[in-house]
Amino acid sequence: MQTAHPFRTLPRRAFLADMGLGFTGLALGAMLQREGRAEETLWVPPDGQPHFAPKAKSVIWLFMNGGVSHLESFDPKPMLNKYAGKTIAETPYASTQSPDKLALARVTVPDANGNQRNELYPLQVGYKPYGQSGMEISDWFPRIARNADRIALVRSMYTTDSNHGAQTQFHSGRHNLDGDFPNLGAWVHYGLGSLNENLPQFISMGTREYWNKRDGHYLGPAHDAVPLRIDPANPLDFGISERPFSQQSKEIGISLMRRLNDLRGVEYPQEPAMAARIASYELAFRMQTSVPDIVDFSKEAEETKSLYGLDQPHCREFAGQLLAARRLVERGVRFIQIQHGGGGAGAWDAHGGLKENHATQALAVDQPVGALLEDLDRRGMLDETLVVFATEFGRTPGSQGGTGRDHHVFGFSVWMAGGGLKRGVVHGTTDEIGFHAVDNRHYVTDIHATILKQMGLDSRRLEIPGRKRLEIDHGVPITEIIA
Amino acid sequence: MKRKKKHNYIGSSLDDFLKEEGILEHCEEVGAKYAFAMQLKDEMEKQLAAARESLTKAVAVSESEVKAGEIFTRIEGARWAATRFDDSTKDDAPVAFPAESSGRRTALAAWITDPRNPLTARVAVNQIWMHHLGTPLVATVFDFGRKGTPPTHPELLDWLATELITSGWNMKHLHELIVTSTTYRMSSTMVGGEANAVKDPDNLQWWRRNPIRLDAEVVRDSALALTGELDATRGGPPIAAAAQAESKRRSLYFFHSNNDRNLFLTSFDTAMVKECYRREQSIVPQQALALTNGRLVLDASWKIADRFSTEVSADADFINLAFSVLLGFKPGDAEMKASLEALGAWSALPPDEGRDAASTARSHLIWSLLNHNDFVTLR
Repeated sequence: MQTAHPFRTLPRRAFLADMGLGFTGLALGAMLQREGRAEETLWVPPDGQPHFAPKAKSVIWLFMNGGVSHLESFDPKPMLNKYAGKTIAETPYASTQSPDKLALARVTVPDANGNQRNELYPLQVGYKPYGQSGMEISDWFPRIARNADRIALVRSMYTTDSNHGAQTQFHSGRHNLDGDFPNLGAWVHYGLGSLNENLPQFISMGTREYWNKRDGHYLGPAHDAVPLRIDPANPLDFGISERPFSQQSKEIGISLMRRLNDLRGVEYPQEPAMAARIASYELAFRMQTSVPDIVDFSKEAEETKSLYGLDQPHCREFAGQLLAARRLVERGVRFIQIQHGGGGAGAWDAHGGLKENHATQALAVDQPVGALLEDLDRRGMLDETLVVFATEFGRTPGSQGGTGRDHHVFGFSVWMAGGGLKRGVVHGTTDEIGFHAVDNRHYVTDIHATILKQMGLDSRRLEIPGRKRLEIDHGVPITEIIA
Repeated sequence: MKRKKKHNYIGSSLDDFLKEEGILEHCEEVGAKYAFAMQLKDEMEKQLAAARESLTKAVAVSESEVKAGEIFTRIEGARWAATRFDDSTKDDAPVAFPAESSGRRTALAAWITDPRNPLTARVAVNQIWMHHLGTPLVATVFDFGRKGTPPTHPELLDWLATELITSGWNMKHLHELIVTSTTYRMSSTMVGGEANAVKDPDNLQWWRRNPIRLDAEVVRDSALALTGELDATRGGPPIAAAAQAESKRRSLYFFHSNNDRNLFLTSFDTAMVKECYRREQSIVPQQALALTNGRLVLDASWKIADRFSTEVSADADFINLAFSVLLGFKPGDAEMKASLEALGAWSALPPDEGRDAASTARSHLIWSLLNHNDFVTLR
């Protein structure tokens, strides 16, 4: 027997991991493990079990493409009104722009955006404190604000890509000049097994720009999210027959396939790949009924539908996606990734006309997101479901072209709710003009680490041979917001 | 010094005087040096002025406030700087190559292919072995360095590497050695291997073949080849995404980038742009959906069925032919019986539009076999 060979010491499970069997393979992997091969050595591919007791079972990942202004959403800065029109150099905060503090930004392509904006731009919207926590949230997000006491808000995020490559950076933790790396959802999918045998475990909704289109990367395409459309007639790629094919004829064919594969299994017994293929067909057949069922809202109460805003044209699209997300979580799907305003730079990219832009975009997401939190909580699902509301970066305290704000990597806000996090807490601060995260600063992978911790996963144990990750890739859980 | 000719403007009468004094030569030397120094000073002052000017400009630019809408396009082409990739979106400025090569690349090539350097041949052998047998001898095909894993069969790797080098880097020789080997020609079945399975359950010692799932391109090309429609033309421009559904060209010619990939091929782990050393062989339900619902297979089923029906007439002959060609084995009694029953059941149903009951049933049978595990598996 060969010794000290990390790929070879547990080859039957390694084989499954190698084959990228994804969720079908994971079940099989768990089965094989129950058979029991005791010798454990250097590297163990995931067996679908969490590494320690999880607090959350599912993640709903809401991502606002383009860059939400932290200054007009979750991080009020009255000093911007006081010093409006002055350059930063003329205020007591001149030192925020000292070159050593700006070195954080790592430019991909210098262009007209992602530059320093010096003339302070006043807040374009008012703020009010909400709930017991008194969390201040802007008037553009009244429905989210109603849930202030359910939210753990982090006001001290930073990233480094001053252009929209920061979208991938927020998903993978790496600057796009570093290359492509697996997204958080892919890691969760890679690490955890199936909760439901009828549905894929990693689902994405909404438009994705090409630089942020894939998830698995070196973990393999089996860990890419399965795209879902809110269209009961055709929700999945290859979800319906592309040429008329009667259900009866299909069923005869499927039972023939089963019989022929079983017969072949007599000649080629104990073949994991064959077993996985048969299982994948069974899952595919089940998906063809279970997935349209997810996006068929006819059995939802009218009250629920209007709570999400399905009857409101301005937020119908996001409402449908979030209602589908709740239905997916009910059925045990692990990770649901929803992109809002994806395509090009992203809908929230308010270089000019910020007031109109953000008012419109907020209207499109506020009611559905607020409804999701309320709906999850009243169904008792919020404790085991972690909702994330994120964006790639904030926007500059200074004005761009008099009506907008530019990309801003030095400080911005992200919030999470449920999944065993504290409710109604604000963590971290930016400075007086919302320029730099100053207190309890967090890089984007700290969000990943927090989520993985709640899901019961240790990112270091997921690491695979030959793919050593950097310390910063793993991040540090934000323990202050964990209940 | 031969500066005299160059500087003959120096006055002759003075020359006579200096000659008389016996210091002419000395003075000429000093004068020439002085003239030369003056020219040098002029030149350096010019350069200094230019440098000062650009410094002043740079300082002015760096100190000036950036105004909204200002766009900087100061470079031609694109280049890597320490922290960024500068791209002006214009073509690179033309590069002038020296007339004579420095020979550095030749030296590198000679070093890579030197028979005394075993690494190149080992890497090549490992790749070729992996493509034939599914599992490489060195698991980290992309890394033979310190972070890589050691080979499972070091002697075999070195023997094949030596064969590759001594045959004059003849790949065909290497392919032949591998595919005519006993290892390659073994069956992948576990039947009769019970004793081996106990000793070596993971087949580390190659007591059987490991079954391989076909690559994405092979799956599509096979389905098309079976219809007789695969366009085997070599070369030509890539097939754009929009034209791929209708194209009969080999999948190799599909336009393929990180953003633009064929959906069918992607579900079967088509090459990743930056990670192409080793393909995944995933088994996911999206593949089942692509093969059961995709137009590629549905259309191919009709055409393959019609093609086989021109060669054989009896159902049993049709089934025999279909199994042999699509799956590579003859149907046993049980398989024949199941297939005949299915044909009977389909014939009783309303046929596809424009086709009779028998040919519809046969196309459904082909559809079922294209979805059989062995259609996408190499044993």
